[in-house]
Amino acid sequence: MNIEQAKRELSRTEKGPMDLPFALLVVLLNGIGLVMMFSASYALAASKTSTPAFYVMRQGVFMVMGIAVMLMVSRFNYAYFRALSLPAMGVALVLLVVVLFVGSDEEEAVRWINFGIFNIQPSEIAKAAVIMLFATMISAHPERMAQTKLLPSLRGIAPYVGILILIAGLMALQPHFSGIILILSVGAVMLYMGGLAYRWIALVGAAGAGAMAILISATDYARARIEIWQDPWSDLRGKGWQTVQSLYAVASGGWFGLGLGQSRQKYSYLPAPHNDFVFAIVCEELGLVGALIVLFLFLLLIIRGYWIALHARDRFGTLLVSGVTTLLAIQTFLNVAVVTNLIPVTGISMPFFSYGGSSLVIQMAEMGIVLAVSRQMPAYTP
Amino acid sequence: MENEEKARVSHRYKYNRMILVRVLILTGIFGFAMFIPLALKLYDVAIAQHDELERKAIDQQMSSYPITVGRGTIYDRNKNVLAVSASVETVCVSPRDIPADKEKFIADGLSEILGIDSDGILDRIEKGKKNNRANEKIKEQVEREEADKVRAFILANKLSSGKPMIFLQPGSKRYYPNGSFASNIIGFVGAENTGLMGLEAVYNKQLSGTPGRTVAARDSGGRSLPNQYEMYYDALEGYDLVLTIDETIQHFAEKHLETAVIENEAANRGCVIIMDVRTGGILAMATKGDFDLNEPREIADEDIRRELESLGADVYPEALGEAQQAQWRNKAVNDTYEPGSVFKIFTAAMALEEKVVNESDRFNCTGSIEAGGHIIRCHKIAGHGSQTFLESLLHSCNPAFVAIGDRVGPEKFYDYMRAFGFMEPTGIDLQGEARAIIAPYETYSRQASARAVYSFGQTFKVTPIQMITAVCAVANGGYLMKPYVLSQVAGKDGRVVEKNDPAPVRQVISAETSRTMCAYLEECINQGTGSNAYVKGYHVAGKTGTSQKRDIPDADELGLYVVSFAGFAPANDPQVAILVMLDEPGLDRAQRMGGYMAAPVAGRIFADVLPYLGVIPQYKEGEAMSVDVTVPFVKKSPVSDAEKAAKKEGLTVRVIGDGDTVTDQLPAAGVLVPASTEMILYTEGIKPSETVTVPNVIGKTPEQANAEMTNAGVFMRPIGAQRTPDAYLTAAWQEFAGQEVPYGSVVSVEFRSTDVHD
Repeated sequence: MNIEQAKRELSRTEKGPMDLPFALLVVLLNGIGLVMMFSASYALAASKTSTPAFYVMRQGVFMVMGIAVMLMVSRFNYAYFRALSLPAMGVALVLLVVVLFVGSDEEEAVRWINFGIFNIQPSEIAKAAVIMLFATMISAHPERMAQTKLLPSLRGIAPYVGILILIAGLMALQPHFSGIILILSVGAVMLYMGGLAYRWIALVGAAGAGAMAILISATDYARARIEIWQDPWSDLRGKGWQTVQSLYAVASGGWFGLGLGQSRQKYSYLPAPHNDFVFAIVCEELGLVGALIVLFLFLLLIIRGYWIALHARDRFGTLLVSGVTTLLAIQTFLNVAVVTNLIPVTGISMPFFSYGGSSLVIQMAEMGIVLAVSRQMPAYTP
Repeated sequence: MENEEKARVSHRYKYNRMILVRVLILTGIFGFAMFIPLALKLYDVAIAQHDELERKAIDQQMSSYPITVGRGTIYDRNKNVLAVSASVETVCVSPRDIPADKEKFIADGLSEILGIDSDGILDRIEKGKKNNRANEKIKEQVEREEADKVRAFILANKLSSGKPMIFLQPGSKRYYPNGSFASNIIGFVGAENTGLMGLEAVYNKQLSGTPGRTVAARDSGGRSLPNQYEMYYDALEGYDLVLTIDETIQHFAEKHLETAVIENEAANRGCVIIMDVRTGGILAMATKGDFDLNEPREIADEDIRRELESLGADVYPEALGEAQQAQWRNKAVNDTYEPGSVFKIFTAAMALEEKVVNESDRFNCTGSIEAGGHIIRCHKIAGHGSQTFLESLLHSCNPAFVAIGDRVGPEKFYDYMRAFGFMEPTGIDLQGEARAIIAPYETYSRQASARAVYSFGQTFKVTPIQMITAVCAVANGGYLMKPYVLSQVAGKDGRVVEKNDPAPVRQVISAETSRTMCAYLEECINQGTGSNAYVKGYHVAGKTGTSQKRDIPDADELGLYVVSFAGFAPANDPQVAILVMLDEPGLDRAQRMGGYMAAPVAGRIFADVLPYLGVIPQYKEGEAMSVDVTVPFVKKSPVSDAEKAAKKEGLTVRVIGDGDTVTDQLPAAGVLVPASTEMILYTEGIKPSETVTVPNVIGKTPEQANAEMTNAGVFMRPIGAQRTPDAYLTAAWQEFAGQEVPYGSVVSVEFRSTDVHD
């Protein structure tokens, strides 16, 4: 491919429209998310700040900001993200170290860095950095990934595994299990999409699962959560409270919910109703039907994401989009699973729904990446 | 080139194929499969477990908050308040909303206002904080004044903005305006304003009403939510009770009973019941000593309290409990006593009703009678000799009544015992009515001695309320009425919800027998053992009784007796019946008689109650001279007019001086004197202005007393027993003994007959 060709191709693809269904789904979910977050945060805001709209006003600002960031990112030629990937990883690692020293406390773990007007979770940046860096590295040397022999393939994945272990290790110091799970999952999916042979995937998967199992059984912190997961009523007034309250909310919704704004559980029963447990309020107010509609929208978004990944102009694009999409999917899954007590409680926010400015903006930037890739999809040629 | 191109295409194809497959697999997992467990779990929680979890959620969210209602007021029959509830408040704190730096400040502030220990409050705030409590009671039943101070404290220190740190909850407190008044029947309330004793307990349901409930969704701190999840259950105000008790009559009863219990040293207290003869409604029911309803747990009797305080800590609580139970006992209903000779009323009535005696029958008394191997003595050792039926009753002659009882026969006797209501509780609407202690018929009929002593009321026990009820049956034409204390239950709007109407249980004796008995029992007052219950101008009827306490070993040695009187007035139209019972009086044996101790109490009460009830005095012949009249004002009128005015009242006059116009008079105008009094009219100058000393005439006969009083320069106004001839009458009580009074004052002297052996 000579320069002219590339330029031509570039100019052609640059003019391409962004993927409208994906963009609309993102905006739609943002809108629903904002409304539900408002309802869920109403009582908390009223009691904490005496301004019931406190959270929704802040979140609204961030949402506008997020949509702007998404559209802006979507206009970039994503090929240049390669150049950003290494600095992004550098920043992420620095922040992951810094947070250990200056991070602000939340539930016995330090996860946030206060930047004055907003807080940032370094793990959010780390996730995006992993996707970008892995996509860059894999697309630069795809053959290193597609080895079938042991040693070459080990050599091939070693840097990736090394980065993941480094990040996971730093996160474990916070500790931040949900973040580790997400990083490792996303990393694994990136390697998978890079063409890693199934046997090594099985191997890495088994090793990862084993490591998780050891980690869980070795720490009281995790083991206690497992016990509460099995019977949240065993410590109703303590560690089981959040889960039980979440289940009450979900169950109260029944088929069609109590109606928008009619949640009772949000009145200081369910902790953090605006944050990790906003989906419980969705279930309580909109019922099973409403919850499934929301999940269906996520499903459509995820499928559209993979569709874009499939149609990406190049391997880098495919890797970026599948990474972002998978991250979104796993995050959605884990959040809803926690809310319904399908898995033990772990702090994972609901994309677009949970309160949190910086994570929303980062999330929207990631959506922007997907849209940037969608702009350069080759025109459909049958 | 061709191959290269082919390889490139092939490689690209392979690559594309790998991407396609792997993306499709990811899509399958994350775009589809992943949602299946989520949907299933959501269905499981939201639908399958919906009912169970929703119920738990609602249990948690919905709190039932009682809306307190005022407890009904208890009124006497004239709507005087006997018990009433007033609003009070409970001071609470919300420990979890109190910042650490405010704890001490709040504890000190509340401590100062409420007068409770500051450290205690601090401790509760800290403990409450640990348990994340939003409602910790600091002091209950706080009255308006203190509550206002707390409110001012909250306002001044801004402790209520946002989440309140201190707040007040409404409640109510029971007040008994008259303290110990009618304490044994009104009773009192315990925690939560629930009736524990007396009418408060019996009619607790009616008084307490139905507390309403607000079922409301609350947040986890118990504050109400802004949504509409609220349901109200109407509160129903407590109903008021209107009693048959008459506050004034109850006061008379309590005043005279208390005096009698103290005077006669009744160790085991005493009681008075006053009943409406025609309806069975209780006009008064008193037990002394009693207790203060506002402090029911305080021991009212100082001697007992001192005794308790000297006890060790190990036995103190139990002894205190016993003492409380004892002072709460309503003797009129909860205790039984030996009726003694009072019971002769019924033996006489059944004999008359069964026509086994007639007026001309004579009964001989030799001083004792033998029955079943036992010698039964009459109180008159020499014997009453031959006497008529009426005389037997007036003498309260035991051997005569053994004979009369024998004429009735054991079977009939027991039938009448049952008919007069002694075999079962009266069913009065008060707590813990005791049962009479009477031998079963088989035992009674087998033993000649039992049959003999039962006929004059010994060796069995009945309750005072049974006795007065049966006396009313004798007086009112034969109808045994069901006694009651509650007249009606009424709402605040005056609507009557429940009403007790006079309820005749059965007719026991005929109207004719009743009339005869009324006349006979009036004679018991006029010339029999009941003479000390005599009230001038009123036809009092009644019978006295004295009995050893047979069920206590060595009762005789210890001198444990029960003395009582039961009677009614007016005898020709019975309206009100009175029973007086003094348990274990402590005076010397000569005076330990119902006629001497209990009858005067009834007399004093009758003297107060009958005029209060508007019963018009009817003076009999011979009484006219001793009727009390009001001294007319005759100063400055001509002597002849003055004499006329005095004569009109039945008074005689003595004129001192030669003037034509009265310049002064004795006694002073407006005072009560007996009609036999001689007025002194001064026509020159004024009456002597010196003071004189009132002589002590206790123990003197009326004649002696009158002479001494006249000598000293005062007028005597005799009250109490009067008999002609007045042998055995002695002054038992007088006014102003030994005191200086103006010359010509009127001094009341109460006479009692000692010839009242029953």
